[in-house]
Amino acid sequence: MIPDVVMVVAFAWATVLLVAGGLLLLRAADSLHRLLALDVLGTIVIIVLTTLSYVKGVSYYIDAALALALLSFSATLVAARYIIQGRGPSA
Amino acid sequence: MIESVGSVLGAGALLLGLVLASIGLFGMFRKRAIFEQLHAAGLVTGPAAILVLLASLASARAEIATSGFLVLAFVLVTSSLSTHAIALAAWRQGTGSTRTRAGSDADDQPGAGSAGVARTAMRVLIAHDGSPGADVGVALTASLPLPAGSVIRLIAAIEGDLAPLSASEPTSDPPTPAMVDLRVPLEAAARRLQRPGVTIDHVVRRGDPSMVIAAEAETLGADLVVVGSRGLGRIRTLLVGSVAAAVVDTSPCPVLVARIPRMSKVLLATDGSVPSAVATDRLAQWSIFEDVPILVLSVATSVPQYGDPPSGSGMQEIVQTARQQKVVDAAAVPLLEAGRRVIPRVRTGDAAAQIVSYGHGQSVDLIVVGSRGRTGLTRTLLGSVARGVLASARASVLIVRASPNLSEGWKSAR
Repeated sequence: MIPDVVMVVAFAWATVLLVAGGLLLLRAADSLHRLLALDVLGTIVIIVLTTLSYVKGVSYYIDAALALALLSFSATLVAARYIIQGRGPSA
Repeated sequence: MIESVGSVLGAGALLLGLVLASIGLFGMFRKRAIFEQLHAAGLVTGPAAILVLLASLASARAEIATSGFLVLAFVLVTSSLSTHAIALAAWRQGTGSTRTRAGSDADDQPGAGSAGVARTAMRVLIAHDGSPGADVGVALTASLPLPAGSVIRLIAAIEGDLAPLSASEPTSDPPTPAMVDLRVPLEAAARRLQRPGVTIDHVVRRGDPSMVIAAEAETLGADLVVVGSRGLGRIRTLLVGSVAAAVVDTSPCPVLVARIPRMSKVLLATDGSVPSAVATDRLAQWSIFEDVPILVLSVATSVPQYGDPPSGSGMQEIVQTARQQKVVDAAAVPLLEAGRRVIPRVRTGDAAAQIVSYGHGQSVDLIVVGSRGRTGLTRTLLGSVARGVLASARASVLIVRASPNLSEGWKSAR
């Protein structure tokens, strides 16, 4: 078992990272930077959900992370393709 | 025994993963170029995520460990694929350029002449998207007394349409209808700029406007980039991200955001910093400012410094005003030496608001500000003075950014 203190600290830390990722998204200059920020943000949410599931000791949150990883992956692929083909929203 | 070793390893993996994620995010804040950001993002989506998920082994619960490993396997595959997809899109945008030429030979000399003696001729890049805002930029440039031998290049950017994934060599694409449409206003603008001694040409490029403009400024060796402005407000700029603001962030040289099609009175805002000194230097060097009155303004903020008299005595304001007066005098000297007409002023209050209101009251056409450039998180949270001026001024704004290298040079020279 990972000590409780470590898990709580890790969860708080991951939440801070989530906020930082949000700022990164707000700051993005064009659609490519925005896409990259969203991709990273997706990974950070996975990290947050995983630490949450360690804290609570249940596995449901990791399952949610799995679904989220699947969705964010396909979204990234589609958005990248749209940027290349130019049918997406402009920067 | 085994359990305690496992818990230590698990805690270590968890914390190390978070450290790596923090480093990656910090890198993304520091770097603005997309490929550099991809590099930093790889740290978050790869090692950081894997380490955090590996810690599930130490959770001593079968379901968590199983789910964790499932996600781990999934992330291993998808993170590399999605990074590849983004990198491919960035690469296509960056290289997918097609140029048209206006039959001049100016293309053969870009950047080459910069090694010569201190030249007075200028290289100006005008970003044109066919909008009324862009026409203001053209009119403003046409009103500037550019010295003989100057080069003006008009550039239009088509956002990354019409490149199929399989396009092998984008540069060999034939001109498409969209490009032909863009050439018409470009040629009209080129005619308006026509004058003896100045070379004018135009190009159409494909890709994200701010990046295309920055790249073109680099190849042209531009002294100045001129962009039109639609004048989006502060909130909308934050959300939408106007092209003008993006160009200011990416351009290698000073950027002129045109809002008024003439330049008869200039306001230089200075705070004694390195970027302000660089901006002052430009005003002194560029001959286009020869016959224009220049108001030099320094704003005293209400933040007291160590050693100031106590507040409420009225002395504090006097001391600060005297301090700003010194700043203004320091900026005025190089301008006077260059033969410019200078009017020094000092005001008190919020810097950006005072600059804008003073400029408006004096019916100034152009506000010149230095900018430290990308200051990462600080700018996102606070917003720099230059950004504030750009967002709320009605006059045109010339933003001179001090590059990090240049700042170092300035500091060591002093």
